[in-house]
Amino acid sequence: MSVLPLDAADDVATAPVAPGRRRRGLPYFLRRPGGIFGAAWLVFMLVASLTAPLWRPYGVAEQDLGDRLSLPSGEHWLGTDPLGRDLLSRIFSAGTEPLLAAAVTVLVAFGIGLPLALIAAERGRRVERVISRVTEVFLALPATILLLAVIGVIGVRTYIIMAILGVMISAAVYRVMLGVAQSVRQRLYIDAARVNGLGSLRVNAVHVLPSMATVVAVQAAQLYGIGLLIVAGLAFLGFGPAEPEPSWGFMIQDASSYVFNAPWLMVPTGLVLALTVVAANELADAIAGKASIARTRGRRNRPLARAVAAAGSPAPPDPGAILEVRDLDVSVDDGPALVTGVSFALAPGRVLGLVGESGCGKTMTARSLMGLLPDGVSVTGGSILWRGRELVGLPEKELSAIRGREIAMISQEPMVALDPMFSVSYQLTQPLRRIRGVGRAEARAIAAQLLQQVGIVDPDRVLRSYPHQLSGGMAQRVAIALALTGQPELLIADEPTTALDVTVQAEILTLLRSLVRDTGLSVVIVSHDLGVVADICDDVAVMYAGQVVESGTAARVLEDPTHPYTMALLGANPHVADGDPVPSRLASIPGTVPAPGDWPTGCRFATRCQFVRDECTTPFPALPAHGGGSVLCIRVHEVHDAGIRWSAEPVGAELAPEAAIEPVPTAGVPR
Amino acid sequence: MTAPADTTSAARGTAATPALEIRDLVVRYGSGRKAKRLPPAIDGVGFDIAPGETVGLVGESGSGKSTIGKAVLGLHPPASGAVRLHGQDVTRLSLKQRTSLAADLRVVFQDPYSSLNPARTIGQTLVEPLRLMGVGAAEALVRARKGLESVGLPADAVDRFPSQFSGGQRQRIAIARALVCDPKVVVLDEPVSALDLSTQAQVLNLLADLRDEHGLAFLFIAHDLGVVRFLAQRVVVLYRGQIMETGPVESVTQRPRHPYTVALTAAAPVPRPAEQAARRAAREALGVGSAGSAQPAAAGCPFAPRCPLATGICVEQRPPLRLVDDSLTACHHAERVPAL
Repeated sequence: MSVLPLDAADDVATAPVAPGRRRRGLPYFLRRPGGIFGAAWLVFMLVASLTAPLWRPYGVAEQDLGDRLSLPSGEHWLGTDPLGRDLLSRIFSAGTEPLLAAAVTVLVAFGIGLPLALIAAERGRRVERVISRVTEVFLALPATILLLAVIGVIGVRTYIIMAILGVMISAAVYRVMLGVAQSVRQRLYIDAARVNGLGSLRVNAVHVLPSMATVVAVQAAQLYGIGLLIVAGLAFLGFGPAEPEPSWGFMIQDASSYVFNAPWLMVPTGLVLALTVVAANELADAIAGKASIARTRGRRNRPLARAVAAAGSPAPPDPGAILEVRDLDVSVDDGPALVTGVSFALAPGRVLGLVGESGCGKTMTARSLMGLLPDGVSVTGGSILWRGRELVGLPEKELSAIRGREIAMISQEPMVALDPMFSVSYQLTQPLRRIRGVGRAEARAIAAQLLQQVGIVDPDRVLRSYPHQLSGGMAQRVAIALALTGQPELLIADEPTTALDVTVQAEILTLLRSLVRDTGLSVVIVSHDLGVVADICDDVAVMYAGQVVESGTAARVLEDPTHPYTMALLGANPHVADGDPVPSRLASIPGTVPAPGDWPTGCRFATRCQFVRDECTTPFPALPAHGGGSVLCIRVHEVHDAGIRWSAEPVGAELAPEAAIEPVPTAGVPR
Repeated sequence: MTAPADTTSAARGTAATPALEIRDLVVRYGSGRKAKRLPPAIDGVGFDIAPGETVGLVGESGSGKSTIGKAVLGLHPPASGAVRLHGQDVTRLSLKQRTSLAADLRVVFQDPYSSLNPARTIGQTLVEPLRLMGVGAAEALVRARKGLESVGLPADAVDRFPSQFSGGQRQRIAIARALVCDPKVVVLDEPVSALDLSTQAQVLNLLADLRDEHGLAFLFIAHDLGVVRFLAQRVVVLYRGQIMETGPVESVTQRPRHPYTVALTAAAPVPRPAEQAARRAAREALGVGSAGSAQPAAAGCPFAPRCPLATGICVEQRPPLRLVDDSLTACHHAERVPAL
């Protein structure tokens, strides 16, 4: 069961979607300088070479013995060779063969390698094994020697030689393409198309190949550059067109014997060859860049808001709280706010739940507590007081001294926390030795003890194993043990049980509860599951669109929700009380969570709320609720206090078209 | 093991041809000698789905619930057993041979992100199955637009790409794709597991409405008994590729007769702290073993190593499915199973 990371939107909101596909017209790679140069140069070379006989100023064999080895002049724009032949005419007349022969190599290599890869990916392991073994034989052949042998037999026939080279390279192409095709075939839309009854050929043509297009284009452009060099190399060795027919390789060889008395001779031919190869590679880079553009933005130092923090904390710190967050703002640099005005306090030994849907900012809030915000996102206001110490604006060095020792974190995917290359023993003992300064044997004893503490019955076996040998629940236990190596006082758990089965989830929650009880650990737990919150949390903060909309003790917030959003979330939960009948319809909230930057003024839930009135569009402060908690709803008295509840829509309401579908920010998430 | 399936229909007292019949299904992964050595992923599973009925298939990861879905769809051929669609044996039909009946059997996958081809417009995705059925291009586009409206999306979404829609909207599109050619049976493979709570409720309501409107039969694969209880009439509980318990959803979820179902039900947290505390205490009192426990004996009950009620017979003899109260349960000690 591979459950999606439900909070992926939080992570993605910072990386704007490349507009790529939506804008028609120029392909993306042609909007980058490298791509423009590569494509333009290759087209220019091809056209100029093919049309050279029509425009060249001199014939390729036309000698001007009085003007040998000359520098560029009005008569000979690029100069002349040792026999006084015009270089410009010869270079472009020689261009056709390498440009086309390299294309032959590419076409043959992909013509064989790509279909084989598609077949192997489709037909499963047995076919794949046979094809892979055959291609391995090809890969083992010494290509250069084989090519020379072929030339010995058939003579210098460049196109046939390059086609044979293509056959040999097809094995390498197959290797690369097989991996890509296999990963594309795992996507569910392939299965969906097969269930539709789409034939194998069309599945490949319509769904698999287009998804591989980028990789194919990159590989082809690179191979083309290599092909050009090989054609030139063969001609350099004398296996090219016979004199007086020009060839780049021979011209370079010719120039190399005059390199001291006429160095210019090397320049024009060398430059054209180099530029053509570079152009092919630039084109490959530009095409490949399409995939990685979003990630190329450099790492920036974050403007830390120490000044804001100092100015914005007039109230004395809460003496009973170990962690106090006040008016926290988190924003994308030069972009929209992701979290605004979040405040909560956590007493020692208590568990606080941050709950809400994807894109509500709960993960961003939790990560800001450890200074682990993604690149391009930073705390822009408010304060985080950890045992009276301000964490906002603290230098990275001091933060990293707190991380792992005082505050530790576990994530949704336990495997992310564990390095697949090292044994559990190594991963646990390393931080133990570093943080607690103990010897190897003692560290191992402590590690075994920690594993026992997280409910692992045979710690010695688990210590010896590697992460891939552990089940999901076991891996999460090890990840918790890893978080405990620094004896932290605060544990931040980001959806710690979302990827686990319910029975395993119950075990992990029981484990967390016993850790809190036995060690006095405080926990901030991020979850979308109200059942998990009800199970383990003492306090809860319900988040919506970057704000805390309701907070208080878990018992009061969940048993008697005052904010319409909390009411709706509870109504949408299909787990009815034992003995109660199942409702015929579940409560649901129309639309989706608005994207950061698109939040309505006033109440951010107003656009989706059943109880919305005109006054909801003006800003208003949070009201006290649930004893020490708060609620952010201007109509709380009219709605909650009057006993009105969020109602499920009537039957058939789901079938009415939604008023407007706005493009969603979570779009284009690569999955 | 045809007997249990026969008893299933006998218990329900229906004589009509089921929309989907699954008989003695055995699915193995791997090939050759290795496959024989490993226990099968699905081991003798059989059940029926009547027209218009929703059967929930519940179990933890690795229980084989998605594998059954794949075997029904023809994406993974079973080693033995039979799958019948409206009485017609489709077990050995290749995906191509299924084209003629593909219209009757459709699927909605769990992951709304990878189940739509990002390079194709919604229109192209929806039109594809219709064109394969021989529907003309113009007619297909009209039906695609209607299909989108029927799942609550605007018809002009046909010109957009999947990246312009949220997870919930994409799942609606996937549902529209499954329903656009008026199927009779739809396999729903965890259709709401990847969605947020409020969106999950929207999609569940939509599925219930569409089922009632078109008389669809659903094979609803899920890991959450609460969700299954909302949508399904009957439920099949799987553990390690075998049926542990099956019967009407209310009796299985409210009065489970198999210790595994009890464990599964008790572990699902409810969003009411006081009630959850009581359930937690009850669950801890059950004494169900941890999921990572020892491998079960091949001849015995697969749940025996974790079962608090297990005795000698559980290790030696695999319990057959038998009728206890309203549901069929594969437990030697069904009468001793504690109430929730």
